[in-house]
Amino acid sequence: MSEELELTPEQKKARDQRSKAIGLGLLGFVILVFVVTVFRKMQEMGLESAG
Amino acid sequence: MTDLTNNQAVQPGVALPSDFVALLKPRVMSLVVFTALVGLVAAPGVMHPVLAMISIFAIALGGGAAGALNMWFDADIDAKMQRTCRRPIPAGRIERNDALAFGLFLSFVSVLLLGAAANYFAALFLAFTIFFYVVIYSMGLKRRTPQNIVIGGAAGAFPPMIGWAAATGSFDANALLLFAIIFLWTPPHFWALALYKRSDYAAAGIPMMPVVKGAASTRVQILVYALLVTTLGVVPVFTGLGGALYGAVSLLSGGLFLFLAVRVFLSRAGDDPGPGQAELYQVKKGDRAARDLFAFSIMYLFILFGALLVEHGTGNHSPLPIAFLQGLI
Repeated sequence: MSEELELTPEQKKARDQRSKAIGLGLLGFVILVFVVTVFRKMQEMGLESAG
Repeated sequence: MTDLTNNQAVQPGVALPSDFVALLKPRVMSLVVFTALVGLVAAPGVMHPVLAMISIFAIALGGGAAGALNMWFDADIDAKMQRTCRRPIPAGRIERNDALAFGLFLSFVSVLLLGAAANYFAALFLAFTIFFYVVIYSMGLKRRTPQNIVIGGAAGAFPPMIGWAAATGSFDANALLLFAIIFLWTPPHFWALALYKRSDYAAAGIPMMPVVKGAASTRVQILVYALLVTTLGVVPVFTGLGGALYGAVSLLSGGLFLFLAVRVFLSRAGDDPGPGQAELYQVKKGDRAARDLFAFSIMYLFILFGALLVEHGTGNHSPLPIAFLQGLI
């Protein structure tokens, strides 16, 4: 049996802000990994064409 | 595990994103970012600017993760000190286990990101730095020995080497020189703070030098380390790492650093005031001198590394004719 948790308005507001921050953080991480992958690939291709 | 004795009651679920940002110790992070950037820019390797920026971000994240893990472990003593009692865990806004999970998660993310953006040698070095700060310094040294910040200072001195490793995949004597400057800078910086915050550290039971060996001994050691760091601060001119601007800046700022250290040495900073008003005045005057040294020491590091950043970052770096050690590196 799970107990229903009643959040206070302050807790709800804080949770919403944390959720947004987690969402933005994860999205930022995906973008960073994408950017790193693109630039590393470009570097590799540049090295190959130079060699 | 540490026990939170003086903690206010934890209020579950009220932590804001800004509380988690505070866990990262943003002010310490700014120094980490700055010194790592200097290491990366001054290194002989060439890195794509976008990958360099992401690498610096990863190093900053790693520094923040170490800060969060430090706050997780030190929550009990943070609660006892005026300087730290308003941090998110002792203030009851973040639960300790949440800080632990946050710190561990960011550690993994930062190391992986640095490995992907730069190379895995730099990533390994970042992982070691986090380990050194959390396990060697926070868990091992901080509560056991007055040499805590001398040895633990290595953790704060690694970032320029990580930046260097990110750019080159290795490091040389110049990278070690940057490390050594911050390493020798750390004791006078923290002991100046510990002199005028001595009662705070004593209340928390942290064996800082003024608490264990007394204020007089600490003032002598501050002077010795100030001499060492200001001397070493000039050496990059001889290895070719620093040019004319760096040479001038290191001499001038080093001279001022030394002057402030001598002022602390001659003062009664950190002493127990006697019953008389005149004695109390002398100690307070000494504490002001220690405060000045603490404040300027931060400036000193920024000026010194800033000069390297300007020289190398703008492409205006040229070794001076006196760089006789250049051929040996």
